[in-house]
Amino acid sequence: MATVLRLVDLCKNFDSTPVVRNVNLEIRGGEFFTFLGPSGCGKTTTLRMIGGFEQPTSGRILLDGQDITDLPPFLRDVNTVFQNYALFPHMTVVQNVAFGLEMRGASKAEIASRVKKMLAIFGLTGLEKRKPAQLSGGQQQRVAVARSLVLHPRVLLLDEPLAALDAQLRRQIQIELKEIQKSSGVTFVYVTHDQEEALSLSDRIGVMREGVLEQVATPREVYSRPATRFVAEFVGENNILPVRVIGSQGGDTLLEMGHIRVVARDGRVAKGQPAVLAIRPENICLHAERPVGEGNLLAGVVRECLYSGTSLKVVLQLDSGQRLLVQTQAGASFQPEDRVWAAWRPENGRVLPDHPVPHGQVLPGHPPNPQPGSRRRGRWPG
Amino acid sequence: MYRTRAGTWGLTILAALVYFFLYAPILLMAVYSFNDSRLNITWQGFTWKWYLSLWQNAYVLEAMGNSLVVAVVSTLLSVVLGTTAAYGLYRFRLRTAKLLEGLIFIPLVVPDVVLGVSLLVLFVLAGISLGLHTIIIAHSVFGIAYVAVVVRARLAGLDPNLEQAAMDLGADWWTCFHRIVLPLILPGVVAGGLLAFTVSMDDFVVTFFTAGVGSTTLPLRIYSMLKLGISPEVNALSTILVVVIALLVLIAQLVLRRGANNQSNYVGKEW
Repeated sequence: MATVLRLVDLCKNFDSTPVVRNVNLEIRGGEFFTFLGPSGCGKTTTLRMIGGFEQPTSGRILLDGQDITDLPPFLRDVNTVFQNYALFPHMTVVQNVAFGLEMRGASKAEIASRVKKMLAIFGLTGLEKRKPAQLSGGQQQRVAVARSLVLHPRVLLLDEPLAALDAQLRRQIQIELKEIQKSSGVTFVYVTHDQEEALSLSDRIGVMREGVLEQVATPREVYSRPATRFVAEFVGENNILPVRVIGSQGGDTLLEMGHIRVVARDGRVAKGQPAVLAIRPENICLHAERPVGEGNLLAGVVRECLYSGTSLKVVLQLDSGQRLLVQTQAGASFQPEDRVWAAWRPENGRVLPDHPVPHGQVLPGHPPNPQPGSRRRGRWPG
Repeated sequence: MYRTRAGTWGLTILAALVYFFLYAPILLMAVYSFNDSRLNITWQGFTWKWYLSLWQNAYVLEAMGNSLVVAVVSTLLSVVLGTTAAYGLYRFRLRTAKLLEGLIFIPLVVPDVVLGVSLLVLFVLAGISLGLHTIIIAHSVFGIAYVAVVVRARLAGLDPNLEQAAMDLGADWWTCFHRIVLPLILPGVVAGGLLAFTVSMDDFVVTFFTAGVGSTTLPLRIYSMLKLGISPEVNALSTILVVVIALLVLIAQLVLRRGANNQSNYVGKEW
């Protein structure tokens, strides 16, 4: 599919603090693309630059090959769904949805028919005369998307559009959004810090950290083959174990963890470089007895068992002192203080270059705290 | 909170005294405007005649006309300039914004005498002859401040994303202002305008310094009538003024309150 949106060397500084650094990206027509990252990573700023609400410090933004970097928001064929919806409180649902068409000088008849169709798609029929304050959160959210989508923009930008909704409604609207995106064929560029949301909705995900696009790939790829330590830690749960690369054998990398040798079928870190081994909790098997045969093996003691209905999470303390999170079947019967063996296959370990975690230790699956001094500041208040 | 019985009584009496001194004179004045006697001391019976004689008093009618012209024109000026100023301060994050904001609101706290004298000095230095136009300029000075204060409070409750959303949907700056911003701050604009109008109607001190010959306003006329003693006519005229101004203030409050209910994200700031 053809590229619709291109970001070329996009940079943004706020008061000489870089918040977006050299982002290069091509977004294809009809794609559901998600910027994923913790708060303060620059994902919203990137979106706002595409929408025209922030001026890039350097770099270009191309829509269908045409440079739109210096165009004001009202001259760009992209529309934004704001995090708090930004519905016009003094207008009814119909007036809100009709606003964009009116601005384009569409005829009364055309406006009426397109608005009607849109409201039907979003299940808002019957609420035409309501003001935003008289709608539920979910209904407001739908009006916000309908108001932008009725213009059939080349790209629809969505800035954490589900953040204000409760978990159940969020899941429901996620499905609706995905369906509407598919049936309308409009390119969606989505921003979220919720990795589950990103994984389930997106065709491709761009993971951002401190203004840098660390990996752009499909959800499967991002999850199973993270490109950096940060991606491995931020997306899903992961065990990050410091290792030393001591050589390679065929396609495998030989690693040393303390004085235990392990193997990973992955060789992207050269010998001598600081490295970590990332292993997903669900890819580790627990054995009460030392298993025989090939494979990587670590011994430890069960510290904690967390039952979640569908699975049992076991926290191990390895003999080396490190902690290891393992996800097993719900039926498994491990008890604290049990001595166990953790095994995994070489292809399930991912060797990644280590980098210091600058803002405190990042716990698996938890975004780091927002960084001080990286708050958005610009021409626009808020 | 712990309160003694005596303390409660003390507070009640104090409050009663405060209200008594605030409203008793006005009430008394209103009552005596219906008194069928030239003197204010004794009640002789009910009459409308002082109101009727006001209606036939050419000086009073002229002063009323002057006051209305001044109030209407200065209110219009204040609404346009005050709203523009408030919006400008809200929209553009100038480095001097804090300073400019302070400067706009200063006429509210400067003593009227100072404002009046300084304006008079300015007019004299500039060679501007005194008349209705100078009163209008003077009243606009504080009128702008009143409108700006109320509109600024109203704007503070406005979601900045609304303007961005409007622009995102294709509205240019001007469309955005008059289709989105203005309807949402309109209660503030109207309330500010009503305030400016009432303040202009009853201003004495500033007007006293900036009025010229033949440009006597109602408060100035009342003052000059007082020189001949407190006549029931003065009572009647003052009563009318009080009633009109109280009504306007009431309307301003209602407009602000209705607007607050209408704007979901407005934080309900009373000026």
